Amino acid sequence: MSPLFMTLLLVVGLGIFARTMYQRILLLMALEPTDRFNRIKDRLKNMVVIALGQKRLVGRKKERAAGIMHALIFWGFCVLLIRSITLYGEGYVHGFQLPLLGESSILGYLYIFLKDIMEGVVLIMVIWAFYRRLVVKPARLHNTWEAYLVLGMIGVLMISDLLYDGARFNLIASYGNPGDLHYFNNPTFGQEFVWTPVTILAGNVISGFSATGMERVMGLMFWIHIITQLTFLNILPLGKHFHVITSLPNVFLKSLDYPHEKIKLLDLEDESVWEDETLGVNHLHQLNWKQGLDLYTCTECGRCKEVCPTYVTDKPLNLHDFNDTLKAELYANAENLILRAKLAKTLTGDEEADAKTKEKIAVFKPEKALVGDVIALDTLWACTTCRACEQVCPVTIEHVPRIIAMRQGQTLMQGEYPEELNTAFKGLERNGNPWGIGYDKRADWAEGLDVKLMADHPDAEYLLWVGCAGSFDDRTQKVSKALVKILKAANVDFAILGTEEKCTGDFARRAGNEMMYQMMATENVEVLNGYSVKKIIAACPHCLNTLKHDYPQMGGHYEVVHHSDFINQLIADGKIRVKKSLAGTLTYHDPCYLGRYNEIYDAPRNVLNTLSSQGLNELPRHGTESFCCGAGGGRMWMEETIGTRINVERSREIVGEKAGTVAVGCPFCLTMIEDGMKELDKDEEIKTRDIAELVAEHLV
Amino acid sequence: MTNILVVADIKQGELKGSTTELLSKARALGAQTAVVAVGSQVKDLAPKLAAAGSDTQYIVDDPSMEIFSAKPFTAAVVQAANEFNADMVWFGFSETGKATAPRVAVQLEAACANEIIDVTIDGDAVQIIRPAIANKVLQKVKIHAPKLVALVRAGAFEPDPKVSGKENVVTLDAPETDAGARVKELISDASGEIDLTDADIVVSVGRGAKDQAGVDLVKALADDLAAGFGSSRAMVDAGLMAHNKQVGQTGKIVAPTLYIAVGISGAIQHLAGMNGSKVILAVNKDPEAPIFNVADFGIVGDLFDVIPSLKEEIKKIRA
Repeated sequence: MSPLFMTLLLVVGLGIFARTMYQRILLLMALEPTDRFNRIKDRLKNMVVIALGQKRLVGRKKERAAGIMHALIFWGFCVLLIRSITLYGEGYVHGFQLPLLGESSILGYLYIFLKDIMEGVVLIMVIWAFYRRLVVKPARLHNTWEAYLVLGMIGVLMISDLLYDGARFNLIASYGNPGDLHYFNNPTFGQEFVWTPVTILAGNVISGFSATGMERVMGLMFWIHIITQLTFLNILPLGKHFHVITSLPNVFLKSLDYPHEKIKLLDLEDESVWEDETLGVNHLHQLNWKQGLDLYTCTECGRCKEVCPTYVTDKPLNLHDFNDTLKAELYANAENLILRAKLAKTLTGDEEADAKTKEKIAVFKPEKALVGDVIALDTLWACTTCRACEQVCPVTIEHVPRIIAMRQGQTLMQGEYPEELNTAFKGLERNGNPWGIGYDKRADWAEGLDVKLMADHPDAEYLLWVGCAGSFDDRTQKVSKALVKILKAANVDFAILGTEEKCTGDFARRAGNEMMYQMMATENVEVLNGYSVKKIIAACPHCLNTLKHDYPQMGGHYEVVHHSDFINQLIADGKIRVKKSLAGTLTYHDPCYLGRYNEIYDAPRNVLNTLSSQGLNELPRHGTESFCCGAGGGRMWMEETIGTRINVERSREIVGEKAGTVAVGCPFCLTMIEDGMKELDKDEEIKTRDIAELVAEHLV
Repeated sequence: MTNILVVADIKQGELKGSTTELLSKARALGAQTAVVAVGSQVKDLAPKLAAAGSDTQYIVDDPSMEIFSAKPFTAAVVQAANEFNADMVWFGFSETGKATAPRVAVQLEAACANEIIDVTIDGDAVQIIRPAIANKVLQKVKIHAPKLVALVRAGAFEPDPKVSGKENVVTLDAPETDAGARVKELISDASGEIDLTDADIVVSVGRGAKDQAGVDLVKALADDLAAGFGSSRAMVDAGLMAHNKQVGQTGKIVAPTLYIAVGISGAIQHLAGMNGSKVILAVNKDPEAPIFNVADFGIVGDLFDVIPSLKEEIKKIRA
């Protein structure tokens, strides 16, 4: 068409884009390091399934329609990327074709067919998207001018390309091809027109133009398409549509094995971390680059807030605002952050020389405190770490570790945390349990049950990890006793630690008190390793998660199984037999740390189905989309004074299902749901029971 | 002969019981006793101070002492201690005591012992007993310093009902000190209600009270007993009680002499806030309620029946 004009557009368009991208990458490189380039094969697989396959968009039943819409636009874009290259080529060479996609190959015809259909499909999806935003207005969507602009541009891209081809077809077919335009023509595969029904339709719409008019339309549409595309490319990194570029790498770089980045084991012995205040995240520069990329990638789709137990109960934590605020802060401080990182690289480890550099670095301290000014305290402490947000995030943003790291900064460096936590921390410090009940009473529940202590029976095959609630809480002790009854019935060789057991430190760690966590973990690991414990049955998903995923960092490596999983296996192996005589409607509340953190969904359901004569009735929010009870992330030990109570919200859902019994597998859930039932005055009708209790009652 | 100076515990112009307890103990040890009263309008307390068991009353009465401030208060106590040539200065366990005792100890170059529960004197050897490691053990500590400043744990010493001293008032001027900071105004809980953490008796109401009428019923019992009025979390959530009345893990931690739990099932979160109480009385209609596991006395019954008869009985006994 016009090599000169095309070159000008490309130089300007790509030049500005490259500059923006360079700045964005430089900013990421100024953040803290994290290793995300191992195990390329696993990472590619994630990228194919989650990003290219749009797993979390089309995979969620609840949002399937919108998910399919997005997936079709995305897949359409993938197809049209190739077409774009052809068009840029057309700017230089008349009738430019990519190798293998020319008229001599069937692939070329298949491609133009696919491209033609996808353009039509994307156009329809864009219209649907406009309709959704303007008329349906789903609550989770954030309606911004940017959203409309981008949708509009996608529409323009589709229409201009269709009309460009439509005009070309009209000129070839109706006006004797005056410009000697190129088109596909093959003795075997026929002519291009037959393969492109949508373009033919577009051609018909503009068939009224004269030959000259048609030529003008063709040229105009070509350049509109090219200019829009280059403009589009430059708009992407400026707002939430940056995800078009960053989501593939973001999914590729996501955490492996554990559902999100594991909490960093802080070196608390190192004096400099206290002097330099480098523990946790108190400043922007303490985020790692992947967390920065997460912020770039947030699409503000709002799925996270829709499933967030705190957002739906009117707490101030709104994850997409949280991300957006941090991202804006990151951009606003980009220059300083980059300069700061440069200086930090010159630190030598020599105290005197470093003192000066540190002085210079101190200048770059932002005016606003990250927590307090940028992110409100109530926002930070609202999170229950339930991971519902991460589970639905289509681009695998890891919100929770960032929140925990910020809590670490608050708790360790600022001493700023909800004061109610003090009682629980003190309890841990003195008695190894958050209630502060005398540690000597830890095994009192087992009196008269003939439960062996590890000290008397160090060769036991399994260690039963009872947990604080199972040891001290009158209600949860019943679960411990039920579990003992089951294990004895199955002749399992087990023992407990008794007074040697301490809180795993789960809640302390998630409340940012890494010091208290490490105190608990060190002592527990010492005891466990002292007995050479290999296999642990845990009756609490929080204990399970900590023992299984946190303790390896502390040198504790154990095979940890949740009691529901273990009981399921006992039944499957015929070691225990149960009556299928549980009457009434039975439902199950998935604990977050069992389900979303450890992917144990089937075992408890299998067990319950074996017991219930009517079978299990699922709650509206179940499995991966289960709704938190409100007690995770240390929330059990804090007051819930803002908005409505999470446990009541969940209990209401259970009441709505007219369940007679709600089964749980976690002492926190047990407390919270039972309390919610009392609150709703339904505790007589709906019994909240642990799986172990139900099984123990139905043992044959 | 040992000279023991007791710092009078005065709250809103009233002499607190701890002063008598401390003086009773000092006399039982055979010591010379004196008391120091610091404040504004405190000179009228002299007869009461004598009756509480002191033989000398040092009075530092000055308008500037109306509101507690650690520095001038310390200076006043030190002044009295020097006048009296005190070997020991005892404080009752209060916020002002906690703030003053270590400062006084430094100025007198004395040893400072926190939260003691007993003192013995054998010739020149002074020995104290205090709890340690979260009350798990009791430490016996021998004091080597010539002087001792001690904070006495609340209720550690029994008051002797027969105790009395003689009136011998020594008026001291308020010492000139650079207060460093000046308290301009004291903003306190205006409700006039009894502070939960301070109260000798606490009556708490739980879900069993159902509504405002139930809360009022239990509140009336608390008023009869001049007790602090607390609650479980459920009542706070229901909007029937203020959050500062919540007893439990995430609320107030209380340890009164008598704790009466009315209509509270006793979930562990609540127990964590009150199981340090000396005597626990529980009223609940569910005999299985876990509160009965920690209660010293339990009444199984509907609080709407139990509380009125309880009030009736109290009235009878008082009459």
